[in-house]
Amino acid sequence: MTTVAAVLFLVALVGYGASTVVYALGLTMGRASAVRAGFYVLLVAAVAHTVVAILHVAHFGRMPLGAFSGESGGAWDHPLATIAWLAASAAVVAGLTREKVRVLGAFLAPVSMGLALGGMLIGEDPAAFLPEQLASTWLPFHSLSNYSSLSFFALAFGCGVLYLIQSNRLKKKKLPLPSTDAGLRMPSLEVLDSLNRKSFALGLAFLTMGILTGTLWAIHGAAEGVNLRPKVVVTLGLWLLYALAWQARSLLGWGGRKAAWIAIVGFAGVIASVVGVAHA
Amino acid sequence: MRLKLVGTSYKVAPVEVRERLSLPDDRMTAVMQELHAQPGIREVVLVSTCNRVEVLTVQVRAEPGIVEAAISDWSGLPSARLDEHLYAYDDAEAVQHLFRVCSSLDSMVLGESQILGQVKEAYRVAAEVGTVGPVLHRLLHKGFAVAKRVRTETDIGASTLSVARAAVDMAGAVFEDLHRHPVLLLGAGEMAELALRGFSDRGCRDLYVANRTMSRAADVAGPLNASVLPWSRRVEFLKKADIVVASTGAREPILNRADVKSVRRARKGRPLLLIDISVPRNLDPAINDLDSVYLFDIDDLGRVVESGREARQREASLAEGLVKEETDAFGRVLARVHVAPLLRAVGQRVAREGHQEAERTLAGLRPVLDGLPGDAQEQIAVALERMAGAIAKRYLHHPMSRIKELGETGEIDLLDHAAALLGVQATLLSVRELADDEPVAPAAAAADDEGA
Repeated sequence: MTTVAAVLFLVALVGYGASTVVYALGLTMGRASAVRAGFYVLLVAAVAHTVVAILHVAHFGRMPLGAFSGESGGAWDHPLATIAWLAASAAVVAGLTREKVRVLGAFLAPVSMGLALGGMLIGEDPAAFLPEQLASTWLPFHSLSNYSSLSFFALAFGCGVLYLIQSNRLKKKKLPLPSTDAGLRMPSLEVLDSLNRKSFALGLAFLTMGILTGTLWAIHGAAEGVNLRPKVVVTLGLWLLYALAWQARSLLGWGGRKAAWIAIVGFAGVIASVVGVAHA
Repeated sequence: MRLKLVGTSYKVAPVEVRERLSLPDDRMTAVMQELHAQPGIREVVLVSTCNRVEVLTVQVRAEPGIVEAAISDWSGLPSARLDEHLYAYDDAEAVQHLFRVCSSLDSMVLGESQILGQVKEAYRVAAEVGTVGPVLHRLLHKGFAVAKRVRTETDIGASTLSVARAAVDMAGAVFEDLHRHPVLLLGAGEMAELALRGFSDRGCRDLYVANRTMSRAADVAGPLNASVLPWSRRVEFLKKADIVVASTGAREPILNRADVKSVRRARKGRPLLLIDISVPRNLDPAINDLDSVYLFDIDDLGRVVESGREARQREASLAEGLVKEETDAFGRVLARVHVAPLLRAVGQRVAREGHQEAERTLAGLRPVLDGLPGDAQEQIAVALERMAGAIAKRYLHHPMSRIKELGETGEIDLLDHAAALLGVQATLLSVRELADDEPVAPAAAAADDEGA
């Protein structure tokens, strides 16, 4: 299993890199065909990574989030590698659902590549080791909710980046405009803002579930042994900020550029919490 | 067989000539049928639009100038006057021209899509009245496929070619479903009307017109079912409108930065797109500094139009390459159509005569053969048949190869001579007998193999 998973993870890693390059060429030349090709390369990479995740779950009986306890998997068995997979998968699912947003992969493919490489460079986190007795029923729900929220925050991040680029081009009247570039039809600001809003809402909902299931997990026997207190504090802080941002959007009309910045900063905060807090 | 395209277009004929040549729908059918009934005309399709009239025919020893004469008849223009406005293309050139027309490479507005629909309609009518046969069926279907390929593989139809369309495209960069966004038109001039019509054509139904003269606003609003607003409400209405098009003769700005800023809170972050197509400009350029507000003036739209034109020209050169490639490929298909009946006829004749010769020889040998056992007689008969067939095939190997070469280079006259020499001239040109997937007789297949 390990060899197959290692090869597929390598395929995914190379795929993220290749997709980044092809997307970049497509955007530079304004060629829709190259953007399509970039999307399909990302699709292959995401599928390969999905198979790795499935093999891992089948073999170890847990998500590839690092060896909280027992035997460790390969390079893919790291929170950052899993976020990379979720980010790429989010771009692929969004692109398959709506062709116009396939270009989002241009911003999520490099993120996936960076995260997967980052996971390999950082390596195993000894602080994340979890004693056997803490692996209660609530742990998988907690992890699943938290990481689901990450995939939506990743998508909101991609929308935010593209929104700011599009908006700046419109403001500075860089012609031809994105939507009229030969061959390459970029999504409108409205589509990006709407996808950003939906992704952010779902991300927040899953994060809320993650916190609730985390609380249940702590109540049911883990409280004494949980040595992730800084992470808990940071996650609660992030949740509060996201909830406030969501309220600002709903009540004060903080859409458009403000929402784009919130999505970008929010995703960066999540990554920082995973990397920084775990290694603090 | 000759593929011939005779016609005229906006490139070679002024409108007063084109209007004489153009045919109403009810006459098109009759003209096609009349032409089809002429000796030597095997297939006809007639395309008649405001920019072109073209007659595509498959001819077999038809009288030269037969199509030109027909055009002269229905247009009432004397041949001498008509000649300077007509073009004629044969075979590969006709194929290439048709492919270019279908792909909108020969259109007045490069890359427009209307012409393909018009050619399809002409083909449909011709098919209904039975004036198309195997060659034009194949050719036109190929033409439609080439047009599709050009649309798919190039971006010839993607860019913008008018200011009104540019304004709509600008809106498309900000808003996804234009029909959900209210459009406010400030002014009621011709350009304003065109722009409003552009939005209406893209499905916008929530349209408003504000003008200093209400009656003029009503004139513009009426045909598009737009609502009329008092001029004094224009600033307040910015709370609702998402797209504003300004086109008045005012010398001073009719909306300034403070006006737009005053409605931003009420808009709750919804983007506002303002398009100023007036000269001098009607909207204060400082409006563009506001967050979530996008302002474009006539020069910005002009740049979009210009870049669209350049983009289409770039794509057209790619499309020309595709058309050339497809023309060459179709030429090879047509060539195969040309020689297939001849090869088949020669093969059948050789098989028949070989068999007869073997029969005659066997009859001459009968006294000798009668003394032999039955098996031996059978073996000798089979061997004789085989020998006759083998000699004929060996002998025909070179001529058959040569016929195929002539077919590929379109040497109709030489093929005619070859057919006469081989005594099968009647079948060479019977294009009408061909069906797309007509099976080849075994004897001809054998002859084909030998000749390959």
